Amino acid sequence: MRIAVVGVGTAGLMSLCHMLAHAPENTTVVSIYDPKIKILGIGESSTFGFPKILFQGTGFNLPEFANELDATAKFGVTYKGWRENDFESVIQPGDYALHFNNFKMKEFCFKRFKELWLDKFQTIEGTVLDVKNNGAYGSVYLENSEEKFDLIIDCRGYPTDYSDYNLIENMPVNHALVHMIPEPGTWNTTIHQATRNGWMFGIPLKTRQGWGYLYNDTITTREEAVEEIAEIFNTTPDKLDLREFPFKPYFAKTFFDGRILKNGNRALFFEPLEALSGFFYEMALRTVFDYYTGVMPGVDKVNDHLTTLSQNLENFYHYVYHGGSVHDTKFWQTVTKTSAEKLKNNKRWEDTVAEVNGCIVGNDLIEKPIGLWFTEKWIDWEDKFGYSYFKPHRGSIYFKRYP
Amino acid sequence: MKIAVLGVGTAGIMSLCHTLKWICPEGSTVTSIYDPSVAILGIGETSQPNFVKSLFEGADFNFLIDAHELDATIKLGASYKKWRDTDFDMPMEAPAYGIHFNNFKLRDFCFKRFKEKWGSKFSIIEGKVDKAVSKKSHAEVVVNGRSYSFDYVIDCRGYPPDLTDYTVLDDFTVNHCLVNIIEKPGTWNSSINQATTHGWMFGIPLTTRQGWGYLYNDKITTREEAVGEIQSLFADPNPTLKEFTFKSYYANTFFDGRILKNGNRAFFFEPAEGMAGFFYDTTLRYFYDFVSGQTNVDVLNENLSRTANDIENFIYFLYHGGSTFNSKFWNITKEKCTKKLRVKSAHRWRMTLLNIKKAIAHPELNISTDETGRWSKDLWIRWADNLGYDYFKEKE
Repeated sequence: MRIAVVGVGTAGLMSLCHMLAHAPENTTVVSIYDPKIKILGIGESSTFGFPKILFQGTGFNLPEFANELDATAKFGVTYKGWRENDFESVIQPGDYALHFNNFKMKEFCFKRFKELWLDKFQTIEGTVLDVKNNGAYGSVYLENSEEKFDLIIDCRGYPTDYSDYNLIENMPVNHALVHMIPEPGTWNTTIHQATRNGWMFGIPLKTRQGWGYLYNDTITTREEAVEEIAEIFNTTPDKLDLREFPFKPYFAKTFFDGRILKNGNRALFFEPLEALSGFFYEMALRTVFDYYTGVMPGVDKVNDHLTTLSQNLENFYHYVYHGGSVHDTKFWQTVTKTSAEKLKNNKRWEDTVAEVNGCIVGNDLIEKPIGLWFTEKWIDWEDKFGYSYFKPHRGSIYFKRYP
Repeated sequence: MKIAVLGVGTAGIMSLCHTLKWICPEGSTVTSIYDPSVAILGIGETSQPNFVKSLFEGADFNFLIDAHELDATIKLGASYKKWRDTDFDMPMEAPAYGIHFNNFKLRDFCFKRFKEKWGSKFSIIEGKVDKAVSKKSHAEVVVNGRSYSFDYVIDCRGYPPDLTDYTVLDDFTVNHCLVNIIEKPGTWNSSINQATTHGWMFGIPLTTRQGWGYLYNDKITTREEAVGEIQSLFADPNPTLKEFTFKSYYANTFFDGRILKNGNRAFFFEPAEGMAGFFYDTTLRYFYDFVSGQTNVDVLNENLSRTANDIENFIYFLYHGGSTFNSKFWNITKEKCTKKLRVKSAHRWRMTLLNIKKAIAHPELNISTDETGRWSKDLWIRWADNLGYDYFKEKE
């Protein structure tokens, strides 16, 4: 079997790790990338599936390789200013996730791939013009050649044309301003701090901190956003060195066509809340793996599964936002209304709620995956955000703060 | 179902967490029986990821919020110093982590949580256990002269009063520990295992202090020699030391159908790699299999004997290449451990090696760690590489 992974951003490298570790013997996994293309890098947060996939593909472990990725352990997310009391969303104890510098990922992974997987791993450098399903095989068209593969994982980043994508209207934020602080981050969670105009993530790396201020440019002007950032960091706007990323949320109408799997930003983009994109990338890889092993019967099932997952992601974001924050501002007034509207009469969301309620049996919970989370975790969200979608229950454990 | 757990040391608390979460069907009860006048054995402990998970499941412990309750620090692996010319780490497989914790604080923390989380399912009887005996249909525990009946009892009362029904390893590696507590926070994230002239020393970082345990064999090294090296290592002429002597053993029968031995009641080796906690957890998992009808008493006992054998063999494996010290202890121990792995009776070790080699050659077979001596093939390769052994070289 011959597998290509096109692109070397985080999703591309995750795809390489997954395929190198799990593809059958005699498979060749080829990384195809254009060294001239810069990856999009801020300093990333992840779910616990990420260090696991990195371990499987590269032998990564935190004590040995933290410096190579500037990485710190992540035990959860700290929500500040979303409710009167700040709270944590905790990763189930026993496992950690990572904060890491994704500019350093390719170099680290390639070095390890070569050491660990020898000839199973190959690289082709060049400008990719197109990828195409030719029925019996998939082709990657480079400037001077065509390469044929059994499976192509397309991680080339944002699509150039959105005709085959669902563009999501009325998502709460669409613009990020990134502020780096060249000092080590000494905390062990990803900070999600609600602001007047949206929210801000804070990522601790070993050598620096990455802060991303997210807002909606149809509600808030850049000047207003910059002013609040300056206020938060106790400085003046002219002293901020901000990088800017406007984005639009979307997900593919077709993720997989039997030969080509879209992954990473090629497949989907929402926003960085809870690092759920990485979770999607991992699930896309598992789903296609299940397709090849016969567990997921048919291409349509793969697409149905990933579409459902995308819709669950979209609904979860609205679930988080629709209760607002401690800020009574134009942004929060607008998004609480639009997000509540999105959840209203939303069949998938109603199914999710019904399924969670079905798992609340007296004082017990039937633990199972429902949408993005297990039952317990839904109960946690409900308690912390102060919502009342679910039946009376015994309470959460993940975030619980005992007196 | 009525279950009693005797004792509230680390194994007792793990057993309570496990049974409260997993073993009891609706209407069941778990009773902790302990004697408050019995002091637990506590130094500062190291653990495996299963311990963190068990504590989470039973007592809602999460490291992010509750670390201070147990003085806990994260453990990402073990650092081996002076075992070879180049120091090395044995990291845990990402994303798993263990913790270092203060086991003096474990009972109070867990009891408070058990009461809130499990309500009437959890109860406590304080008193001296006069006897615990198995009957055909139940187990009887007599506490301060009063008899109680349970379906199953997990006995974690610590060192057995006599070792008649135990396999005692008379000629094991180390048998004596001198503990030096340093009243400064430990700021590292692994358990330190440092080879010394007369054995090795563990270093455990807690948020409020450091626990160092100097292990030696009192048949080879005198207490004065050991103390001398501690004085030199810590540059302290008058260290305040706590002393523990111990025997290495495991039960011939772990479970009789009603009473399950766990903790030091079941097994005691030395603290290399925190394997004791792994054994406690394995015991509870096999017990779960029994209670849920997936196994029987004989199979459970066989499995636990094999687990104990695997841990014993691993310790020989660790020691038999020696350390950077050319001393009496290391010369004797190297030879002794090498013999242990090579004698005709080391059938289990030979099977382990064969299975590891098979797992390396045929990863698609997914050979379980029950067959590969409790470590995955990748970790065995890593151990061998770090220790300079060539057991698996040709297959890599």
